Amino acid sequence: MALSDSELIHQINNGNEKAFTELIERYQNKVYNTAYRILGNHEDALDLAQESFIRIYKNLNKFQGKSSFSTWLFRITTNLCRDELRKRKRKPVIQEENFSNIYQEEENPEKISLSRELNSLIQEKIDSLVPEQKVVFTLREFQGLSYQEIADILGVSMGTVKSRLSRARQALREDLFEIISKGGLE
Amino acid sequence: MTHDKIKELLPLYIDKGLSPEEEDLVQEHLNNCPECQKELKEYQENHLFLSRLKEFTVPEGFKESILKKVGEGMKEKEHKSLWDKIKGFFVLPVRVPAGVLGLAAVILLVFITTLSGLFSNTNNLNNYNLLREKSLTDQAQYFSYSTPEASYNTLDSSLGRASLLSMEKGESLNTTVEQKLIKRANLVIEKSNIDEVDQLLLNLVERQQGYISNSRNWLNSNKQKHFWFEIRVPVANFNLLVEELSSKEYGQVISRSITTQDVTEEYMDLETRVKNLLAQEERYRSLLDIANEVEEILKIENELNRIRTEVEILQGRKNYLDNQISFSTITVEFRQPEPISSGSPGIVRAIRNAISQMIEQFYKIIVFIGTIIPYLLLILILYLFYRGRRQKKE
Repeated sequence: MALSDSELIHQINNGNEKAFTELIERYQNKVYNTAYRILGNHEDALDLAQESFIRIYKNLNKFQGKSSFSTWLFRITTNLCRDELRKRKRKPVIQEENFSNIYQEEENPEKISLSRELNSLIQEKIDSLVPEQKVVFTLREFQGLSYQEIADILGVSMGTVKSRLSRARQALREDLFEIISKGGLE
Repeated sequence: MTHDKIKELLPLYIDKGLSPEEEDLVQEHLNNCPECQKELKEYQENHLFLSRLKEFTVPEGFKESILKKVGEGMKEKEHKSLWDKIKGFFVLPVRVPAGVLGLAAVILLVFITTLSGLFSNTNNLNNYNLLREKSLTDQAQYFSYSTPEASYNTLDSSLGRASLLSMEKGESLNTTVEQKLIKRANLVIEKSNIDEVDQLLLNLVERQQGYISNSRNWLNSNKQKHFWFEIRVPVANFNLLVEELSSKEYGQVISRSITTQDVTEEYMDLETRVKNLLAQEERYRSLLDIANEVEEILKIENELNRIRTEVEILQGRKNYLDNQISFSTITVEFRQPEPISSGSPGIVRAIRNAISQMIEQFYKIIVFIGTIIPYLLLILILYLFYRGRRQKKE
């Protein structure tokens, strides 16, 4: 029987290191992918994901359980991403993909894996979005979070979430559709 | 519903992001708008596609490196030395540009120097106070020298007695002309139980057949009582009274001055003039008896008036002098001595001083903060401005 998030946290607070490992495994990909989609490259995403977990560990005793753990986790992640994006404004970063990713064997056969070129095309378009829209778009499309959850994570109203998402989708509609229809599905 | 508004709602239509009313509006519009239908399809495809993408997985060693870093962080905490902790305490969470920091340091220096300057000033003041207390007797002598009147006495009562005697001697030497002397004395006496002075003095003065003509009481700035009396006493008992007042019973004499004003000349002069005027008056009266004419009578009567008036003035002055001569005036001021702290005076006084100094400095600090607030505001404005410019550049 898998322990709930709050039970895991309780364990960690008692000094159970294995519980923390379990927690990492549970959320590592979510955090990593979110960071990747927002920042646009794998290296930064990896660093940021690690940093997120380190933060979690340090502040676990302050976590009061007012929100769910995943909300809190995503909040930390998106905040770090926002800071990183701000930093980038001063020093433009060249997005290079020299990182080879291995897709693990997924149980779900319906999931699509993209070629590197296709992926970077899509990511390029996503990178053209304004930061606030990018974050909402990522959380909705890639993490499948509900409007309410996204609003909780970002600390904004649901209306704000909807308008940002709408604009993001509008901005990407044409280009994205072109890519997916040209690229074809594997 | 305008076409543009629909365009905004469309993206949300695909995943139930609209209210029922909005959905109806969109559906209605869709029935008639091929353009929007096409767009809707695109949205749906995009969304579906993205949701079916495989997610990336973290590379090997991800969680291990996290655990390692976390572990290092823990060890760091344990080994954090005292010095580091102190340093951590002093670190500002705000990044402040160097210029602002320099300016703040300069202001701090100015503050410290002014404070120390003020402090040394008050120190000098304390020294002055101490000196003052030591030199009370010196001061008394100073005061007694400053009186402009003829003769004065020192605090040493034995000497005083001698000089009093000499004065008496002087009287007896000049027997040819009776000397007219007005004697006055002024004493300042320090007495701890100042409240008994009232009764004591009353008794003393009565014994010497004198009376108290004036008296005053007041408190000085240190809340010490002061009693001042003006005593009239027959000249014969003057010396005695002064001697008694100088005795220990009445306290510690701080200053004493005895003056004798020789008014013999004036007195003689007055007597002579009065005598002459009276004689003149007599002559005029006899003239009046002889006079017949109204004019003459009037003139004489005028003169008589004038003489009479002048006689009266002179007589008045003579009476005043008589009173002053026969009754000497003694003014005596009693006051409470400066409070002395019992026990170990040095330390207690020092502590009290220290505390009052400290309180004073607090006041000064508050005032100082008030004065530099404008400068702090200026610094804040400059800092914000600087930061704003910095961000703009990026």
